[in-house]
Amino acid sequence: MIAFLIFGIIALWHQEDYQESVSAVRTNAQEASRAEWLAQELKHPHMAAHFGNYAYKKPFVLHCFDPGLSIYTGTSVYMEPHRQNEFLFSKGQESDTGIRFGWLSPAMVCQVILPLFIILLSFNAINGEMKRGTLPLLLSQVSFRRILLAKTLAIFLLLESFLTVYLIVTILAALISVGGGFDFSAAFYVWVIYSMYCLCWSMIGIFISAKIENIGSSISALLLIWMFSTILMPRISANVAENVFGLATNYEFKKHVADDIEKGLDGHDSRSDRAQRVEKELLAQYKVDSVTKLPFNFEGYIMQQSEEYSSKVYDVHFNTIFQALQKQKAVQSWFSFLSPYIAVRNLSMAASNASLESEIDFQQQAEQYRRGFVQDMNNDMMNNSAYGTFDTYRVKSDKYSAIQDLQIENHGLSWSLPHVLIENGMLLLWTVGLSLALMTIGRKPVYN
Amino acid sequence: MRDQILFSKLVKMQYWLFVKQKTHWLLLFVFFVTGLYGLYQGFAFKGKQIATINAFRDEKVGAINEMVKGFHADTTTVAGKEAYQKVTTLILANWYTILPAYKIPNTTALFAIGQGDVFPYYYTVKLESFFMQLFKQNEITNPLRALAGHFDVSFWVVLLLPLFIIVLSFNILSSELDNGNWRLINSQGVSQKRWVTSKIVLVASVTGVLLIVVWLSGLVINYVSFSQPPTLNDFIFFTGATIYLTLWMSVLFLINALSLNTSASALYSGVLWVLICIVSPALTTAIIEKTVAVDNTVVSRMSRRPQGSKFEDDAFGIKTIRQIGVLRPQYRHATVTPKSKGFSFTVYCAYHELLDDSNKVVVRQYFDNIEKRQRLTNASGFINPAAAMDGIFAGLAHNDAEANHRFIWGMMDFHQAFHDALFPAIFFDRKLSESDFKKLPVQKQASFQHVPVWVLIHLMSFIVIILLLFRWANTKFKNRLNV
Repeated sequence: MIAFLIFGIIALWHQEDYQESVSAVRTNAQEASRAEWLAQELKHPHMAAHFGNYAYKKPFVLHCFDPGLSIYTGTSVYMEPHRQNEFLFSKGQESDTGIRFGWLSPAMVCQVILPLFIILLSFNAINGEMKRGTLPLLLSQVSFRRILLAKTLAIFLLLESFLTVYLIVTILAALISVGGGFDFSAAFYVWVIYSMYCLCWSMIGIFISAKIENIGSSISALLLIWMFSTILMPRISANVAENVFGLATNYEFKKHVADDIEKGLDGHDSRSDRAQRVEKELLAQYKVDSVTKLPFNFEGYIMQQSEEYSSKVYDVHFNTIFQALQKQKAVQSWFSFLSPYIAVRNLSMAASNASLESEIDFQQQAEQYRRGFVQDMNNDMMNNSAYGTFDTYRVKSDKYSAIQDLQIENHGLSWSLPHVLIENGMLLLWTVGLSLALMTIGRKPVYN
Repeated sequence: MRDQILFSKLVKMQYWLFVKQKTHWLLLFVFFVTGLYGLYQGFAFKGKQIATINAFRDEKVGAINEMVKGFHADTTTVAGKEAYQKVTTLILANWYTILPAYKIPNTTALFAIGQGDVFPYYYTVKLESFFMQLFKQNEITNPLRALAGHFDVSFWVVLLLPLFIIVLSFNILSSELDNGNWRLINSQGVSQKRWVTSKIVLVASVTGVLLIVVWLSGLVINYVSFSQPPTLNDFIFFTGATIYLTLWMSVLFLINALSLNTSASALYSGVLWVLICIVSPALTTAIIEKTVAVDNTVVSRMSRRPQGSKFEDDAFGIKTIRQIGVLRPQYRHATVTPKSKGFSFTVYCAYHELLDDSNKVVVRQYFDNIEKRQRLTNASGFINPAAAMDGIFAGLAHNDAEANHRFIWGMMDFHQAFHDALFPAIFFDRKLSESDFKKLPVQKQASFQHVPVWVLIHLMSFIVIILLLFRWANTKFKNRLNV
């Protein structure tokens, strides 16, 4: 018990410390990037756009409990015209190979170690009574079902009290160290799902102890179930999912993007054709015979048109990647039928804003920002400069500060829940199924 | 001599007991299939990398060959003139000359994917700032798989085979004591230690056969599918796996010596597995992360392209070109002047080179700290054997941070050789010629057999642990009444 508590405290301290330092470092980097943007010399708006901006991911409060996928995805992105860059510098690139064994966090304690502790408390709960000869004595006072229920509840309530205190302490510490918005409903939801998970393992422990008379065999069976559920199944599910719905390589991705920008998304609308068509349409619309006679700078207009087309192409190909990832996640979600760990892991990540969908959403918010600020600079060129003045036109001094820094919108629980319906169902199924199993074997003592 | 015969008979008896049980065959089958599945994952991963490298290299090399044809283009046609300008004009050549750099996975990469999925294994290299390009390129990483981990042979050896050993040998003695068979066995003159040793020898043999079959299959796959004959790394991988599994044998030998009943043995074995394979790696990594700080924000903004009016400023240009003459003496007598047509581009190139030179220190520090983390993990065998061995395997497979950084520094030399081919034309104010392009470098691959000395030292430390555990178990057996 003491070892478990110490491990839990270390995990909590480690995660709080990590998120606090990440928050400080990335806030400083964001501010430095902003300062560089503001301090750049007055130049042509398109060149200023090429100077670019950076977005650094900052941790949310519940990341201190469960950092989820935020550990394995990129941490910053360079935003510039014409291209949607990927997020770089993932934690995985900066850590030793030990990170593949699991990242120490309160979520890891609750998902992986807590069930083990339950196993240690429950493996001889019923068969131990039998071995000591106290089971008949108990049965003379209460029914077998009541014994099972009482044993389950005793273990569950003990761990539940730990879980509740642990979660509260984690959140309070996170609010102090990381700060920012706090979603009470998400925290409550985290408490509910981990309570169900805790109950599931308590029932598994009691079930096995009631079903297998030999104590050695029951502890062996429970440990094997734990290893299968928390170590094997997550890996098998992730690897199978990738085998079925593989991701494109960056080389393929970039090649397709470049081809589609050059030849058009349908393969028959080349970049030059598109430019000529736009020019022709504008000349007709404004009834002029030269782009120099348009009421705005044609270069700025065509720049923005090209930007919008490339954005469309990026959307198509990034969506292909996101869809493949979502399909992989769906495969893993269904695997939670065999492992409550997978269900609770995905639910916890969703509630903590560290799920696949949260990561994709973050990328999309950054991308929307990129498109916005590039469009703003292109519009400045289009509306304020004359045709052919690329080398001489300069933005006004207040232009840079008019471009706001990126503000990431933190979604609440209601946004996350629709993405984890399968996992919710599976966790419920596990809880109900195990309750029924326990009730079924509770009709009569198994060893009679 | 009598003892020797008795021992071999004991092993035969254990073998007979082993094959009699259907569950053992099922276990063998399950673990063999998981080993093959691990091999398949390595094969799929490596195959994808090699296919990508081939396509990438062919495309880039093809584009350069096509571009060089521009020297002989018919400049009386529009297309020919464009092709000629593309290859002789400095700014255009800088834009279109893209060299491929790549890291071909070595033979052991089939067994250990390690960090191979998070590090890019191919880059495009242009004349501009090396770090600007480096910190803009990445491989698409699958976060879902990174979260769960790879199911490769390394995982099979480090986490699964110990389970196989535990399941077969956690209660060698205690089960006989529990079910009352021990008296009968003991009446035949068999000591507890010999009984346990004979079973451990059998389990070691069975595990060894599993390992050998999977390893040999890997060597065949490497040879047949990737035309890669076995290397020293493969043999060290096999040796490391054998040593690691022997460590588990010694742990089980000790557990059998310490515990008197099945439930205690199961508890000890299970808890030890969790401690070694889950708790210790997570704790050690956390401590290492805290001890060795790594801050990527110091290098993250190197991807920003240097720009501004300074490149048009003659005084700044002259000063920059003088500075590059100090750093690269071959350009000390550069003939380019503010009156030269490509002066601002030359200043731009020189500035990038100087920038790389100053950034190199910061990047090296950043990389060094990451490598330090890995080295600490690999050296933590005494307290963290699973992650240490996994790190050693990743190192042998050149799929760790150190191998990635070695590739990057090699690529920086390659980038420098690229400069050496085209910069003379830029700094000595002349058009690019075909002979300049003939000097373009071809990237050298790092040796497949790069095995750092520390790997051998760490493996030796594992042997020391094994000896200590066997000694401890022997002492425990001696202290028992029935020796």
